[in-house]
Amino acid sequence: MKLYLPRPFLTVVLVTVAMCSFFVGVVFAADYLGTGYFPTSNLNRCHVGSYYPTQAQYASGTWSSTTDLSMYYNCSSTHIQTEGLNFGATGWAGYAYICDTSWNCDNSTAYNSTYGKCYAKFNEYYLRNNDNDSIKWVGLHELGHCYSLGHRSDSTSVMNQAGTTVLQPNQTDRSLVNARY
Amino acid sequence: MKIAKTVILWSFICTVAFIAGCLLYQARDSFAHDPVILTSGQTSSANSSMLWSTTASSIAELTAKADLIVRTRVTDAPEPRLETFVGPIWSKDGEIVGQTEVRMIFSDTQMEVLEVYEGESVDVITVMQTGGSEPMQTIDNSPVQRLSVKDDPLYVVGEESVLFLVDISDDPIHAQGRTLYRTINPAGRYAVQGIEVHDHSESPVTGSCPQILEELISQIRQASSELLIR
Repeated sequence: MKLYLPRPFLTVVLVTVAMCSFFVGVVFAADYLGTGYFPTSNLNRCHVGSYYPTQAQYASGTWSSTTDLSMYYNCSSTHIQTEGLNFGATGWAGYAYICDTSWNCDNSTAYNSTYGKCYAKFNEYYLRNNDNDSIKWVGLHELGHCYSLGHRSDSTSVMNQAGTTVLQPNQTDRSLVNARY
Repeated sequence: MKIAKTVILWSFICTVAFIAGCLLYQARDSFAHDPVILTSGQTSSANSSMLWSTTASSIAELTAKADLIVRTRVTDAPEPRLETFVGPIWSKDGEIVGQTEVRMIFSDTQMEVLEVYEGESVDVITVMQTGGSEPMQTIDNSPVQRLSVKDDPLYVVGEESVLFLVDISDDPIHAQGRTLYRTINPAGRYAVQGIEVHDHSESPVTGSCPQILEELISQIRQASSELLIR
C-alpha cells in the first residue's frame, strides 16, 4: 500500500520536529555545567578538614542511594574530595571546582572536559551559624556540581541556590545525573 | 521509499538541531556579552559552581549590603596569592587518620577609584577574588594550571567596573592587616563599557536591571537615599 502525504504538510511537520529538537537541546543543556563528566559511575570520595564530615557523608550517601552513581569512601584514589574548612571571607559558602584529567581547573575548560577530580568545599566562615540540615543541603548541592549539574530555578531541586530546606534530589535532579552516569 | 529517505534525512536534521541547541546553550553568554571582553580572552558564562553567601541581586539589596560602591579601573594585573589550609583526613569510620594541606589560589587586584557612590572616599582599593593564573599545587601535588570562577572572572588591566563591595579587612586569612574588599557576589560587579553596563550574575535580577551607566548610578543613589530615610 502506498502511503500518500502531501509534501507541504510533511515539510511543516518535520520542520516543527526539528525546531522542537533544537529547543529540547537548549533546555537539556541548561541544567548542566557543561558537557563534561567523570568517565565512571563508581566514584571515590574522601573528606578533609575539621568540619562537616557527617553532612558530607549524608550528601554522598543520598546521591548514591537515589541515582545510578555508586559512591565509595576511599582516600587513596579519590575522584571527589569534600573539604570542611574555614576558607575566610571569600563570599562563597560552598564551592565545587572541577579539574580535568590534564589538571586544568579553569571553569570554562574543565566543565567541558573529562573530569579528573572535583573539590567540593564547605566554607565554615559562612556556615558556622547554620543548622545541620542547611549544611547537608550545601553538601548535596556541591556534590551535584561534581556530577556536572548546574544551578536550577526549580524550588524543589537541590541545585536551586536558595533551596536550603531541600534534602533529597528531586526526580529531575536524579534523571539528569542518571543521564550522564 | 521516498518517504523513508525523507524521514531519515529529517531525523538527521533533528539530531543536528538537538546538538546545535546544546552547543548554543553552552556558548550563549559569549553571544550575550559580546563584544564586552571581561577577561583576557574569556567571556563570562552563566553556569557557576559557587554558592554565594548572599543572593542579593537588585540594586536596592546590593546597596543595603555594600560598605563601598565605586566605579573603578584596574591598574595592575591580579596578584595571585596561594593560601594553605591545614585540616585532618577522615577515615571511612569517622576517625581522624592524619593531617593534610589544602591549597587554594586567590588573587588581589589594585584598582583606581574613579567615582564613589556610597562609603568613604578612597583613591585606590584592593579587591580579592577566588582563583588565579599562577600554577599551584593541590593536596595530592598534582599541578593545577589555572583556576577561574565562571561568574567572577579575573580582572584585566584597564577594565572598568561599578562594584558593590564589602570590607573584609578584619579577615585574618585574606586581609592580614591591610584594607581589603571583595564584591558581594557576581550581581555586584557591573562591567562598564562606554555608557553601557553589564552585570555578571547568572540569576535573574529582581527589580529592573540597569543597562546604562547613568541608570545604574541613578538607582544606586535612589537606594542610598531610601536607606537613609529608614
